Amino acid sequence: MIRKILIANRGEIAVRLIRACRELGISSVAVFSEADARSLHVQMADEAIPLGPSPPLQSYLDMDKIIAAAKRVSADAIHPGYGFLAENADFVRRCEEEGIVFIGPSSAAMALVGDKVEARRTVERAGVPTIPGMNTKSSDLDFLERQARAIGLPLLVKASAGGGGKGMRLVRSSAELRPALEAGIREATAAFGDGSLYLERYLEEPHHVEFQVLADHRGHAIHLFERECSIQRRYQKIVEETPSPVLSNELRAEMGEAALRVIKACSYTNAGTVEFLVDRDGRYYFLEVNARIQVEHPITELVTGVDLVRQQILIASGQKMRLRQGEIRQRGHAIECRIYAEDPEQDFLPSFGKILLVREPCGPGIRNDSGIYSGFEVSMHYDPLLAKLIAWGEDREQARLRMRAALAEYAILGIRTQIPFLRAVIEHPAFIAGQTTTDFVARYFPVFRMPAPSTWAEEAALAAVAIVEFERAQAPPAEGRRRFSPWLDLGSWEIGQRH
Amino acid sequence: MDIELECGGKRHHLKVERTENGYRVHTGARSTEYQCHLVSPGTRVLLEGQVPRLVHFVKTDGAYHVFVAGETFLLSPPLPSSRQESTRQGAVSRAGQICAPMPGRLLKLLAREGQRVAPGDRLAIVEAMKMEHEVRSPVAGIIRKVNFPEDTLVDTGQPLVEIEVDEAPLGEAQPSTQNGKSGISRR
Repeated sequence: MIRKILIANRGEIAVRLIRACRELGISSVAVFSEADARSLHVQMADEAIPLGPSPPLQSYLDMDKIIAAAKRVSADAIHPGYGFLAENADFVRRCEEEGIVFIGPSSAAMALVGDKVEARRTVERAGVPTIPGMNTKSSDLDFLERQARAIGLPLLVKASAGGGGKGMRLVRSSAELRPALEAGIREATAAFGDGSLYLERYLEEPHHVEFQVLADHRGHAIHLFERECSIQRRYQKIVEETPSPVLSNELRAEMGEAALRVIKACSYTNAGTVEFLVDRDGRYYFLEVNARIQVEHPITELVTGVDLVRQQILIASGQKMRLRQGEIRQRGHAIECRIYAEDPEQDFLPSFGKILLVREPCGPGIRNDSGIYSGFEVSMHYDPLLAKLIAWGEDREQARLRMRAALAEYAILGIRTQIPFLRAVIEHPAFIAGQTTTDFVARYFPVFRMPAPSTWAEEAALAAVAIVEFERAQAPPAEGRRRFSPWLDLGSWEIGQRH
Repeated sequence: MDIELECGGKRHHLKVERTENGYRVHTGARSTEYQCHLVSPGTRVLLEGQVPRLVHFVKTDGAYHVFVAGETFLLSPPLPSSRQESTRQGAVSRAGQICAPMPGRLLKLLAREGQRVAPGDRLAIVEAMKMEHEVRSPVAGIIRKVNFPEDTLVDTGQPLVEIEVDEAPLGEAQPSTQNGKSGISRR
């Protein structure tokens, strides 16, 4: 029985997890770094424990601090979210030793799927096809260079320990190899504390299609169909959708079966994702298992009607999963856009600072999983994901139109976001036609230029500011009143903001 | 009342007058009448005839951040002329300052003093939000000064490296976008 869960994460996913706890009548405990003291997950949790300095290694990645926090509040379980310690087998083992339920797979299954090479061997034995690549991992530059020659170009450099694009680089020419390996090792060390890399052949124009699975501790496993996650920038997914526009019903059924074979071969439990690449000819290759709740899980929730986080908690508490494969249906279509604090005019550099104003979209079929608010300070220490906007529709086009309208409603002032870029992506004829290969961004947006603002919007902006300035200048002096009303001196103000 | 505002590098001269029902705003040759309704301190509805325009705005450091129909604008009073001159002088001196594109940690310095660089050469790697960003040279020239050791925390706009530029003054060079991942700011 789980009564209290420590959420070992921050941002929008921590908020999402706290909401699931609240629904289930489970007490939630947030942890936070110095930079996050005023963050939304801290405001929402039932209890909150400081972890100290802001750098992740001294806070959200510090296993000792997280375990100590869980013990201090007598939490029965830890939910790791995604990133940070979510796929760290050592951390899972620590939880097991301390008698704390880790909401995810066992440490053994985590170690197996986390080791890309070992996972590959296991998957091949289960009869699921894989991509040509190394059969070991390494952080030895000379060895990696020899392996690269054997595999052939183009190839992908990947962090052996992680996911989410950290440490990942595409190498097309031999001159790019050495810098890519060096940077890959550094990024992998910084992000996961393990600098070993894995190299594999890069497939041209593939689709990234992943299958969501749930497996309980009694050998019962189901899949909840696929997510198409091909629209990526620098190997970070930015737009995801389900169902995939490229799968036939036969291929969908076959890949779903393959995903379940992978999960069973790895003795995997709880929620997980089996990633595949699908090439031009409809051949699919196993990529990796993501042993965590995924950033893009909401699209599966909207289309299947299954609350994945709730299922994770029920499975972790030892319950028998009641869902049956035959009951899982895809209804309608869902699209997710990830809102990042990045400046599309400055080559998508991170944009930090105070968010002065947020106005979130709403409407039929719109879900907004967010970790921000007016007055929130975006820190340089963490991933720049601010929020996820998800649109559901009866079909793909309706979902797309709802997304289009919602993106246009999403007001974030004070920092830059790539919302203009997301709007351009979902308006692109290739996206409308469902031609969402992984080279979509490189092909259609080699350089992104902000579209010129519409004349009437710019005129309205200028007119509004001019009128506000005019009103201010014309405001009666009201000397007597002034003493009693400091608000008049503040200009436009809002709770939670500083001018 | 006359108001000058800068938006996206363009200067706008506006004139506002009170009318019976609202305001008349003159922008260049155009003149539009608006009714202006206060929704909340940071939100107005401008009625242009029958057409409502919802405007969100926040004023900070003298500039207005404005949101209208999916677009954001930064409107500020024009820069005082002294500041513009100093920028121009930097270009005239033919010393190119390559600045940190964002706050972060100076992870790796690839430029040495005295080294000759070509446009697109990697000068430094800055890390923030767990991602590495390469700073590349927008110009050809000789590295005159490297301002920080590796591992320093740097802020946006801090000059990392100073380059003596070969031909065109830096003020005319465009930020390089080679490989789609260089980041250079000259603000």
